[in-house]
Amino acid sequence: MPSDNEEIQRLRKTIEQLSDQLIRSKEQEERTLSAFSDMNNELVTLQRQLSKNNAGLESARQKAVASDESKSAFMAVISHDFRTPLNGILGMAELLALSPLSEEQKDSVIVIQEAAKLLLKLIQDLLDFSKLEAGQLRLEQGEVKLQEIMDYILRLLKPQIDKKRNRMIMDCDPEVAAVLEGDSTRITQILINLIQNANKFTTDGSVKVEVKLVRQQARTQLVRFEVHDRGIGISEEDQISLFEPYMQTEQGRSKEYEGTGLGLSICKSLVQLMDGEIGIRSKEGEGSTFWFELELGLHLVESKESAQLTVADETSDLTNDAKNDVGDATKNSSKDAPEQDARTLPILLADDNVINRQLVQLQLKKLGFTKLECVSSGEEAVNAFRDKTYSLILMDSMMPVMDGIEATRQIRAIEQDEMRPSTPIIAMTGNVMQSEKDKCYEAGMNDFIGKPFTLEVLDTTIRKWHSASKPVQILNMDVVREIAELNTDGSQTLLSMLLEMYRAETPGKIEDLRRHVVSADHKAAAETAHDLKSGSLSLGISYLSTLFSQIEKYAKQELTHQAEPLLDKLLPAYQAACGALQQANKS
Amino acid sequence: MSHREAGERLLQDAEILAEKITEMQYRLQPDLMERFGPIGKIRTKQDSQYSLSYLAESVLVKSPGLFTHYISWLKVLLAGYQVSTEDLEMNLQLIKEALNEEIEQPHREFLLEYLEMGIDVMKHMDTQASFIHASMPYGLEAKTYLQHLLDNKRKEAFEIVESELNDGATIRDMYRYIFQPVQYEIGRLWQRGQISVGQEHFCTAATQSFISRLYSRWLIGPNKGKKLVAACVGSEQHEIGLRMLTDVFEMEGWDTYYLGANFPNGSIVEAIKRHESDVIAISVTMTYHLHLAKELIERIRNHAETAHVKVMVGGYPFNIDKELWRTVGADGYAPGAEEAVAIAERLLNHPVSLDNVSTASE
Repeated sequence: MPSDNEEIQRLRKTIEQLSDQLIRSKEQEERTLSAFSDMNNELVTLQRQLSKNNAGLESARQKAVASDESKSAFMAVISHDFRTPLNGILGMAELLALSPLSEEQKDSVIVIQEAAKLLLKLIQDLLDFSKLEAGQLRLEQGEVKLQEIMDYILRLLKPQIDKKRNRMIMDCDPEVAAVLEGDSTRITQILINLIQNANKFTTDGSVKVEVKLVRQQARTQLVRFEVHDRGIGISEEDQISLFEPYMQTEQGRSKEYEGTGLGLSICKSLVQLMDGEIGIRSKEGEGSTFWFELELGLHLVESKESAQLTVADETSDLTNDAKNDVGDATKNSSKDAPEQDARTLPILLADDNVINRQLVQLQLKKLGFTKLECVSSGEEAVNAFRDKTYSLILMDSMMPVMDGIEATRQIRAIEQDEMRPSTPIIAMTGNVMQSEKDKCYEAGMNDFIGKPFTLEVLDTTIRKWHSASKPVQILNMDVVREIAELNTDGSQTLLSMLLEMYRAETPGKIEDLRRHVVSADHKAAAETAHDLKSGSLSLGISYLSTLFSQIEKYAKQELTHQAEPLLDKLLPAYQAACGALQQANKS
Repeated sequence: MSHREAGERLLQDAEILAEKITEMQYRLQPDLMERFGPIGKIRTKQDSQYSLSYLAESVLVKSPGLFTHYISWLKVLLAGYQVSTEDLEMNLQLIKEALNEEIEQPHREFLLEYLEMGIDVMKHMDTQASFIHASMPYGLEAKTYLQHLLDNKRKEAFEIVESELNDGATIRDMYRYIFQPVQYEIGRLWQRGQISVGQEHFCTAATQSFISRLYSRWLIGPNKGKKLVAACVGSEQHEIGLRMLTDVFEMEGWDTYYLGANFPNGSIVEAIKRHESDVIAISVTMTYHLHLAKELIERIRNHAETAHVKVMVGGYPFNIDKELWRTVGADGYAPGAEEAVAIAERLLNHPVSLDNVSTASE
């Protein structure tokens, strides 16, 4: 049948077409799959590169951080190494100036002092700069009394100004508030820098400082400071990079004008830190005007000042109250241990540098502290402390073998082990970076004086800690005796029974108190502290009670966070009290 | 170099011969058209061309094992497509005829000798066992991992690896006991026709993506050790093995650069120079790409700035013929990633004693 044949032919053709399509789509599929795999391979290869690059970048970053840290450590060491000999120079010069000298000798001493101070300033600049670079410099907000700042600067720089036969003119806009809020020290620093700069480049002329009110706001004033000189001026080209670190103009670099080239860069960073602006207007040969503008807070005299006074008053009351609370105990103790007590005990000085030891020895002698023992390492300091009681320890923080920080740690451990009262330890160091201070405090030091220090600083610090460390009376023996007399007939004394009960509950309560204080739960902290205070007082435990009493006071004023430093003293004081009671019970 | 010339001669005409052989086979076996249709015919031509290429390459490097191995592999593969041993035998006989007709002496003799060996091998059944056993370390995990991949459960598969890593397994063990055997097993399943090409691609891509997700976990710092550049020759898609090898080098403290496939020879030489590489690892999977590896090695040797670089080769053909690495001009060969690191280090430490190196690899 022809039609059947045709039909078969047609179907065969259809099948062929379908097959062809199938082959084509299969081929297409394989091509797609293979392209997909290629793409995937490339993707994974890229991902690998990315991870490898990331790892490389991360390690580069870490290296950079480490090198930054080592730079800051380097600065610290440099600062220490420079300050230590400077300390010797300045201190000796100060002592020398106090001795009978001829006029000529006096002049020589002044030159030594000035040169050393300039060197000190250069080191300070380097330190400031490295701190600013590391973002470690913090502002200290407080009162800014511009008139006082100006007067101070005038006094301070007068010799320099006179030397160049210049006149200094100060002009302060009366609209600028007498008391503002800001960082007084840093504003002074900037002004001194700019004025010194102006003075440096002017001779037989004038340096004029103007303070103007730019804008008055409800709570702030925008104040503009201008320092004009009639000096050599600065070309427009140089003005652009003037505030860059280590930048000095061609003339500025000449020998006649000394400096690190960091002054203006520090000024700029400080002004920026205070959210202000700094700039210059100058023409070559016609002098320059350096200016900066700062937004300073208006000091709301009435309310704030009185508030501060109240707080201050209350804190001083508080210590008195605390003492009163303990009854006669402390009063007795202060009678028993008069203030000379501190002076009868020697001061321990630990410093590896022979110049420093000699200097401090002379300074202390001048201040009337004659009992002094010197050691030259941390290890010797610890050994000396083990055998003897000192009224105070002056400790160099950097010493070979065992440094002052480790020595302090060991001394604090001995005190705890042997239940000895805490001896004030004051760090003396050439490294005045915050991180170094933190390390000293962390180790258990009480105070910090940066080298070089003046007689006055040394005197104030020693007196502060001598008066603070009146020997504490752990127990009020009158109360203890009374309890001991109320003895029961049983085998156990009343005192030992009470002590046992006290021991059972106090550590838990101290822990509760710690929690309340840390979480600033004023009410709970006040209640727990009160409870602990009463319990301790009834057993004649005096020193620990004063601690509880202080915490209670803070908590009642809702200033619980201020009690945090006291927390660490509780457990040692508790242990000391228990030990002393045990001893009393035996005898 | 008659073997070489014979191989090269055959490579030239492989495509024309394949066409001719296919036509002859379909004329002699008309049922083939009914059984496989036009697709089948195209496939036959492709397969014939592959067989000729393998034969040529194998003669070229004087390595009969390459061809015989290929034939036994092909037999299993074709069985999956319902192509019988008889069909394959017919195809090989036709290749023999075509060689007799088209290739002049003395080349013909070399080619026929190898072909006969292939025909002989075809008659012995040879089945490859599974690459995954429960008794191996992480054997059960590898098995579950593969099953998840075959079920398109990518997430679940990765979770196995993640949980093992969290339990303390090393990335290197994951490479060695999960990724690598699973990859071999996928190849075996495809050869036996148990999974499709698509599935094979998917599983490989999934494992690759896991490998790339793991990079951030362990590529954590620049290595300061010796440097390795790794590349596949030709347009090889079977690059995952080399990738894993490169990673193992990296884990061993080498600084590695994985170039992958599709990298022109010139660029590979360029990369060796740029990265100041100590060793170049070249991977070959397809035997018919062997001559490309040889060309690349020659190029590296002839370049003043890369002549000193140690050349290592690896991949399927080198595993079949353990002496083949010498023929392509390499300095050494390793059957797997773990051995490769040791051999590369020996190559750098004892540059002259190539024979010792080869012993170490065996």
